[in-house]
Amino acid sequence: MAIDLRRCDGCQSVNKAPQCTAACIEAHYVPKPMEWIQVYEAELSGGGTQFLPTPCQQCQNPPCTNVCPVGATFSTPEGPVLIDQERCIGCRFCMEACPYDRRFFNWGNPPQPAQTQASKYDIERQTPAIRGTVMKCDFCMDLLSAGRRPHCAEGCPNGAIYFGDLEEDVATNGNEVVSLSTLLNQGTSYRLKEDLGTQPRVFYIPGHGELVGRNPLTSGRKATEWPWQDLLSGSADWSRDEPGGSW
Amino acid sequence: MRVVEVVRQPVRANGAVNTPQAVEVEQLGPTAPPEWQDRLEGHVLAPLRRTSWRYAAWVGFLLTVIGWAVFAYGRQLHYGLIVAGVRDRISWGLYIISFVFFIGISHAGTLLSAILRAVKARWQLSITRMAEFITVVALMVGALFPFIDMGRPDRILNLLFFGRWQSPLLWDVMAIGTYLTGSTIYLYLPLIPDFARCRDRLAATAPRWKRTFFELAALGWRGTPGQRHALESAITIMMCVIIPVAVSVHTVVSWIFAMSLREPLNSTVFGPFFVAGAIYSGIAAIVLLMAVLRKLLHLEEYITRTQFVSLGYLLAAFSLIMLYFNLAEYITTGYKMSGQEPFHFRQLMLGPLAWLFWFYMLGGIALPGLIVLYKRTRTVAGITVAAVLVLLAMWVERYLIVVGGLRVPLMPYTPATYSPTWTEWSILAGALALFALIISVFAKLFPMVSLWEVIERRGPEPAGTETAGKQPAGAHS
Amino acid sequence: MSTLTPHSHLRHYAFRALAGVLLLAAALPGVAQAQVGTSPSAIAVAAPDTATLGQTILLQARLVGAGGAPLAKATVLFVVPQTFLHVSGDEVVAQGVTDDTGLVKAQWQVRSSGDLAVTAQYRGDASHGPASASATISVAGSRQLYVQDAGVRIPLLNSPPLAMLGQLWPRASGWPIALALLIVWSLYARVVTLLLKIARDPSEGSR
Repeated sequence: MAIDLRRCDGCQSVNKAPQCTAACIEAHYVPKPMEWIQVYEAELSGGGTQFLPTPCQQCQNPPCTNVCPVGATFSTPEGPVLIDQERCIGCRFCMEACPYDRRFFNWGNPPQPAQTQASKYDIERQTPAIRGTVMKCDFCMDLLSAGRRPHCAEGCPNGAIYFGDLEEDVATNGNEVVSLSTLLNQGTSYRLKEDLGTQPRVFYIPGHGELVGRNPLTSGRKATEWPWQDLLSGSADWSRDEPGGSW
Repeated sequence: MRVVEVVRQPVRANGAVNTPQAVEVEQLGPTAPPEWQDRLEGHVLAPLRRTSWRYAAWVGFLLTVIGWAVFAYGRQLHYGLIVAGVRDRISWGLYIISFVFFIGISHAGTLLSAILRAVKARWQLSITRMAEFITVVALMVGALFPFIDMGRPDRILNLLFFGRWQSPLLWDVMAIGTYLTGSTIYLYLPLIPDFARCRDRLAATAPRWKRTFFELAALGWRGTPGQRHALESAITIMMCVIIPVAVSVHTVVSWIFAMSLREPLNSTVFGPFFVAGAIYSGIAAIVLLMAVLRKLLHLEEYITRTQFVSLGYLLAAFSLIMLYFNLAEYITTGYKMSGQEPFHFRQLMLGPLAWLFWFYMLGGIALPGLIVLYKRTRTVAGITVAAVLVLLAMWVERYLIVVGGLRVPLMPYTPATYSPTWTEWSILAGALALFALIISVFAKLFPMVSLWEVIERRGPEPAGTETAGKQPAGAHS
Repeated sequence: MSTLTPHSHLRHYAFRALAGVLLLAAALPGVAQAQVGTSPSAIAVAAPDTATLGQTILLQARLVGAGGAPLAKATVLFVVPQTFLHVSGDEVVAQGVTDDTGLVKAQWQVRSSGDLAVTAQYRGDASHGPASASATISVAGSRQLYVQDAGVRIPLLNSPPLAMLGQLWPRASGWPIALALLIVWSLYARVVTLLLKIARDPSEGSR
C-alpha cells in the first residue's frame, strides 16, 4: 500500500469524517473505539499539519508475530499479517510489541450486528469480533481474492490510497494504474519508523494534501463515527486510552 | 559429588579466629549445649504443635480477602477485562506489574541461600528456610498473574498445543516452571532431616494425618552416613543449578519488555537491571518475613541483629547497585535524548509519574541504603523499615516501567492515562493475602528454621553481636 | 552496454516505426495535426524481443521532428497497458529525456510475464505534435521476485543445515532452549535419584 499524502486532506474537502476509516468501520463492523485505519494529524516541520492515514503497516519483519506465544498472529504468504481470534489467548504481548499502535483489544463484549454474530467465524474478515482477543487491519484479504481493493482505498474520495503488488510492481488508486516503484521513487516515499527495521509494506509519499488544495494551516478533521454501532442498543463501550465507565 | 566440608572458617562472629579443631567439632557434632538445642526445638516446633484462636482469625481474615479477590476475578471473567483499568494504549497494568514484583521477590530466597551456602557462610543458616520458602510461595503467587491478565483464560491450553518457543512469554513459562520446580526441590532437601525430627519428636502429639505426612516427607531419614552423603550431594547439585536458573528467570521476565520496540523499554541493560532489582526486593522481603516470624514465633534468640545487619548490608550493597543501574539507564538515554526519550524523562521526573519516580529514587534506593549505613538506625527496627521502603519502591519501579513505558506515545496522539480499578486492587490484595496464607499454612507443617543445620553448623548465636556494630557477624565468611 | 551497438540496431526499427507513424498520420490527418501550428514528430522504439522475468532491460527510442531532425531535451514515456484489480490503464514503466541525437534510453525491470507491448510516447509540446511507437517483448519465467528478507541468516545457527531440520520439524529450531532445559532437568532428575537413595538407604534401621 502506498499512501500519497499529497492527496490526503483528512476529508476536509468533503467535510466528512475520514472516508477511509468510515468505509473500513462500516464494512468490517469494527467495534467502537477501534479505527483500524486511523487518520492522525501530525505536525509539519514548517508549521501546520499533515494528515497521516495509518493502517496496520503489514511489516515484513513484524514484531507482533515474533512475540505471539501461540502463533495466533502470523504473516500470510501473500504478505498481510492476520490474527486468528479463535486461537488468540489475549495476552496482549503483540500490542506491546507493535511500535505503530495498530492493534486493538476487545476489552468487553464487542457489539456485532445479529447476522454477523450468528455467522461462522471468518479469519479474513475478523467477524464476528470475539471478546478478549486482538484485532487489526487485515488489508481486506477477502476483497483482494475477489479482485477488489481494500475498503479504505475504495472509500478514499481523493484516490490517495494506492494498493499495489510488490511482486508485479504495479499499483492502482482506482483511477490509474502505475508502476509501484516509479510511484515510490517519485515522491521519495518513506515508511513509518523505518529505523526500527520492521520493514513495513505501507509506504508514504510525503505531503499535506497540496494536490487536492489543502492548506497545511487548515487543521482539524471531523471525528470518526461508528454509524452501524449506533443502531445497536446496549453495546459495550470503552475508550482506547483511558480507563472509563463505572467498572 | 561429595561436598568438601568446611576446612576453615577464619573469622567467627565475635572476631576470634577459629582453630581447626573448633571447626572439626562444629562440623562433626553439635557444639551447642543440649538444653539450648531443646529450647530451640521447642520454640521452632511450637507452631507445629498447637494453634491459637488468633491464628484461626488470621487465616479467616486472609480467606475473606482472597474470597473478595475471587469475586472480583469472577466479575472479570464475566464481563471481560473491561473491568480493569487497562486499555489499548496502556494494555498492561497492575497484573503484569505484580507479576514482575512477585517474581522479583522470589529471587533473593533461593539465590541468597545458594550463594551463601556455596561460600560456606554460617550466619544465614537460621534464615535459609524462610528465604527458600519465600521463593516458592512468591513464585506460586506471581505465576498466577499472567493468567489473570489473559483476555481468554479459557484458552490457556493453547500454550501447550500451539506454544511457540520464539515468544518471550514461552521463555517465561519454561523458566518459571523450571525455577519453581528447582526451588521446591531446594526447599525440600534441607527439610528432610527436619521432617525426620518432627516425625520423631511430634509422634505423640500430632494428629494422625500429620504423622503420616512427616513419615512420608522424611523419606525414612535416619541420618546414616549414606543418607547424609546423598543429601549433601543433592544439596550441592541444586545449589549450583539454582543460581543460573534464578538469574535466567528474571532476565527472561525483563525481556518481555526489552524485546519490544518501545523507546524506554528496548534497553539492553534490562536483563541485569531486573535481576539486580529482583534480588534487591527479594532481600527486603526476607527481612520483612524474618521480622514478622521472629516476633510471632518468638525466635529472637536465633534470629538476632546479626542476621538483620548482614542482610541490611546486602540491601545497602544492592541499593548502590540499583543506583548504578539507574545511572547506566538514564545517563545513556538522557545524554542523547533521542526519539521519545524527552517525553519519558518529562513524565518521570516532572510529569504525572514524578511523585512515584522520586519516591522510588529517594525513598526506595537512597533512604534504605542510608538507614543501613547510618549506625544509629542500623537496628532491627530500622532495617525492617528500610525493607518495607524497598518493597514499596520496587513495586513502584515496576509500575514506572510498565505504565511509564507503555504510556510513551507511539504515534501523534495524546498520551493515555491509566488508573487501576477496584477489581485490579482487589486481585492484588487477594494475591498478597494468598501469599500470607500459604506461608501461614505451611508454617504449621514444617519448621521455619532449619533445625539440623543450625544445631550442627551454627550453634547458639555468638554473644556480643547485639552490640558489635563494627564487626558484623559472618560478613567475612 | 555500449551505446553504439543498439544505435545501429535502432536504425532498422526507426525506419519501420517512422513509416508506420507517417502512414497513420496520412490516414488520419486530424489526429496528427490536432494541434494547430505544430509540426509533426515521429518516434521509433527499440527493445529486446525476449526477456526473462526480473531482467532489467534497456528501452530506447529516437524522437525526430518533421524533417527528420532529432528532438533534444524532450520527455519520452515508456508505457505498458496494464489491468490491476479491475482498473485498466497505461502504466508508465520508465521515462527519460532525449539527448542531442534525439535518443532516449531507460532501464526497466520486467516484473510480469507474457507478451508485453511497450509503447514509447512523446506527448508533444507547443511546436511539436505527439508521437508514439510500440514494440513487443516476450517475457518468460515465473521466478518469485519479491522476497521477504527480514533478519540475518547466520551459517550453522539459523541457516542450513539446521534450518532444514527446522523445516522438517518447525520446533526443532528451538534447540538451544531445549538443550538448556535438558541440562537443568537432568540435574533435577539426578537429585531425585539421590532422594530415592535416601529413602532406600540399606543401613536404615542400623541406628
